[in-house]
Amino acid sequence: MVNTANVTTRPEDRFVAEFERFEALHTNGSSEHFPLLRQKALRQFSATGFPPRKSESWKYTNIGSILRRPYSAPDTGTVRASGLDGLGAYVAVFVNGHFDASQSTLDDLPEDITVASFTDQTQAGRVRAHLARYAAFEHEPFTALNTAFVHDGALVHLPAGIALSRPIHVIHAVTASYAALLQPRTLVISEDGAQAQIVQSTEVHTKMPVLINSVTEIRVGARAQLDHLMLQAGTPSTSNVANVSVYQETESKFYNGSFTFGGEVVRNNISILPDAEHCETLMHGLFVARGTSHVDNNTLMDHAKPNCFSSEYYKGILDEHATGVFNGKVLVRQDAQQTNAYQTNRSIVLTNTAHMYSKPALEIYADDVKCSHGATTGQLDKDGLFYLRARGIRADEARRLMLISFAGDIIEKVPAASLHRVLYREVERLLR
Amino acid sequence: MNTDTQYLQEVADSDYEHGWAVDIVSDTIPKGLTEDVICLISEKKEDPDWMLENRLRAFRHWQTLARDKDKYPRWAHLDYPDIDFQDISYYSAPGSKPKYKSLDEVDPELLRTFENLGIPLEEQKVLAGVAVDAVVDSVSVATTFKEELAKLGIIFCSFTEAIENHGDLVRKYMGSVVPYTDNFYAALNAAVFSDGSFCYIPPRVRCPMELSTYFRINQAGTGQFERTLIVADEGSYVSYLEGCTAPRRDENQLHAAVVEIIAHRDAEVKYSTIQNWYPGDSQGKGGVLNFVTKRGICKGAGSKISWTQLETGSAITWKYPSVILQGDHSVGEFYSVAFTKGRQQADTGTKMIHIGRNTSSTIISKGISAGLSNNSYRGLVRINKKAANARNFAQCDSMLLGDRCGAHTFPYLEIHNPTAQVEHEATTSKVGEDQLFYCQQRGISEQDAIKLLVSGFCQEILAKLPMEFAVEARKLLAIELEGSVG
Repeated sequence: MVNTANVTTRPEDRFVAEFERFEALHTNGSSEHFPLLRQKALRQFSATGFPPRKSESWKYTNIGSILRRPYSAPDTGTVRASGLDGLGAYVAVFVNGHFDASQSTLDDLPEDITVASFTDQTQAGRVRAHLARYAAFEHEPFTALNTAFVHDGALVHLPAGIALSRPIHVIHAVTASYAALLQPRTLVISEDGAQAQIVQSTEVHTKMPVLINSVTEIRVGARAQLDHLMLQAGTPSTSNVANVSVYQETESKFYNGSFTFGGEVVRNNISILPDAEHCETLMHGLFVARGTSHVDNNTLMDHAKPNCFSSEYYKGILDEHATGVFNGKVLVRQDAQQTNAYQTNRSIVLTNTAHMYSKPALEIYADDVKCSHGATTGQLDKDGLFYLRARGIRADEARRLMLISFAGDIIEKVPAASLHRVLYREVERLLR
Repeated sequence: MNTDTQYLQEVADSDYEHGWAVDIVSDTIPKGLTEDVICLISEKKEDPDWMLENRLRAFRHWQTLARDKDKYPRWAHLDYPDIDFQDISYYSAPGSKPKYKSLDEVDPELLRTFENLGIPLEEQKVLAGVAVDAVVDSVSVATTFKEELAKLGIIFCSFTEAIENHGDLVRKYMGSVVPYTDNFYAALNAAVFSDGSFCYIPPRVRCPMELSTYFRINQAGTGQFERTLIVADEGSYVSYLEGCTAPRRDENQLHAAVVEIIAHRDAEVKYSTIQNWYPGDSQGKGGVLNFVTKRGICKGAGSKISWTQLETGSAITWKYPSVILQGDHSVGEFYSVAFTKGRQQADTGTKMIHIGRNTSSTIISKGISAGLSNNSYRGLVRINKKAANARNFAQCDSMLLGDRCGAHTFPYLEIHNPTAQVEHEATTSKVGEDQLFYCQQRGISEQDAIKLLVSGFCQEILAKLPMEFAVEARKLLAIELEGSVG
């Protein structure tokens, strides 16, 4: 199963070869649209190739050594997804990229809400209409690579006006006895006025190296209100490239929370485009990185239309030999007058072997706007530590408390209250 | 609103005040860049052998960079056509006599040039007590106050003279802060630089006057490749001014200067710049391409380097005055006002590299864009692993005077030490309507109000400029706004 690595081949070629093997296995069973789309994406991918080491948006993240490993797209596997305790969600489980109905709990979903696999023939029209429409792969080689391998994926469709009280949780679990390439694909379509919370998480049930290259496309309908959460917790040999592309319609509200709790190299490409007036966007993120973990959050807030509001808030805790990158851009296009956009990045560096690179950028072409950004990086506040110690709290406990409260700033703002405990638990586990 | 627009329109359209060319006989070598040209420049400059070797080494390095167009530095937020480096003449010196003993020998045309600029050399000398090392094109034509400075042991002369008379100092320090391998334009400069200024302040000497040079680009189709080297020995202080205006030319003029500052233990160097080169016409035609590498090193403990700049000119500005904070307790500062209008593009900022312990740096940058211009701040703050207790504060504010211009902020914060405290904040907005209303309500015309508000926006920086420079800076900013606002 494992390809023998030829040192001289371009990493791209190995992925192309893997595509051909994978394509041969899966040509039947899917609609006609997919093979064409896949071929097109593959051509794009092999033409563009992976981003060069020196490109500005990959300046601080070297993913070359990760990509040089020989990965295979996994066959079907069986593993019990652990899920998230106490979330109380409707759960859709995918194992090795294939929908696993037996582990999913979607039966009590309100009737007109769809959470389905791309292979569900009744949804073929909907998938065809929206797939690859919001995540353009022309300039994003990782999105192109994912699109080339699109076979199964999660479709969430929210009809107009519906308000869902429990979150929808999409789990992608992977198990393999070889280096695996998992490429989850998620498509969320919310019609006008729908309200829902979508949680996405990945689970790695193998000690082998895993590369997860996911693409999530979200369309937020007019006056809809959508919360989207992404949880990444991987083994030390899991690498994660997560591409999220969001398209907002008029007067919609969108929350994006990205939480990273481990992994070898993690790169999040989150791009949100409010393409109509009076939209609101919150973009929050938190990571705790230890060991030699490398976490890179690359975000784009693309204000194309007037009268929108956006607020971005990213925090990171770096311990041991970890590296953090925040590469956030707020783009205000020429017509996007009356935009209010804010961006904040705060990081705590705990050791002198940890590194933080922060690049909060504003690119503004409209004059009647209010935009600001701020970035701070430092260590724990000494006065705060002293205050706690003066009250008889041990040094390590004081440090832990302060870090938890630092992270709490982001966690408390998560709209799904049932997730707070889950997130605190992860942070506490990592800070132990 | 209409008068506002009109005013802005006018600023954008206003012609370049200092746009004229003076006929001075000049000694220009043919266009193109080859090893022969380097040798020719070196010969004309009467370089010692080591300098020629330096030039050739830099040139060969530059060739490896220039061979491949993909390797041209393209990361800046600037849009300009590729420069044809073979279509530029790399040496131009005002003709007739290569060296002057007194001002009387200077070409009267040249003196008139300065008078037109409102900075007559003579007057300046007497009134402001400023020693002026005037550089027209590439050769230093007059150096004044030199003797007075010499009494204190201060060396302030043209680069050529420095090579001749203080070869050991130049050899020791030149390229130590900006090596020829540093970047594309630094390599080019190291190969072809024609002249510049050299300044050495001996230990424990406080330079009694502001040292100053005026640069002009004055020969059609010639690049200007200045090199400035300032060495402040232990415990010394110097304030250095650089001001520029250039006459109108149709073709793009390439300017790739290098400035190096070395501050030893407890020394302080304050470097102020006014840059007002020809920005091109309203169609973006012509204008100076300004690619400058400016860097200082706080070598000794307790040293300080401060950059202050007012950038209003040039079609393209690519400039990042930087400080390497190597000595413990050293301080770096960067204060900048960048004003762009018409089709000007500026990508400017700073780099603060913290290496020593307990170092601190401050960055205050104000960007104002009008017309169709783009104004970017790009700044790097790097805290190295051993730079314990480093402190940085950066504030970058942008103001937009029009709905077709752009203001961008690209800070890079690289932190490798947990004890660092690094803060960056930036805002972007237009002229406050409330503030405008307030002023107008009190009978101040709209254009005066805008001028007032812009001037207030920049006040913090302009106040950092030395007295006589600050006056000129305010005047310049007002003139710039005049054409475009109101």
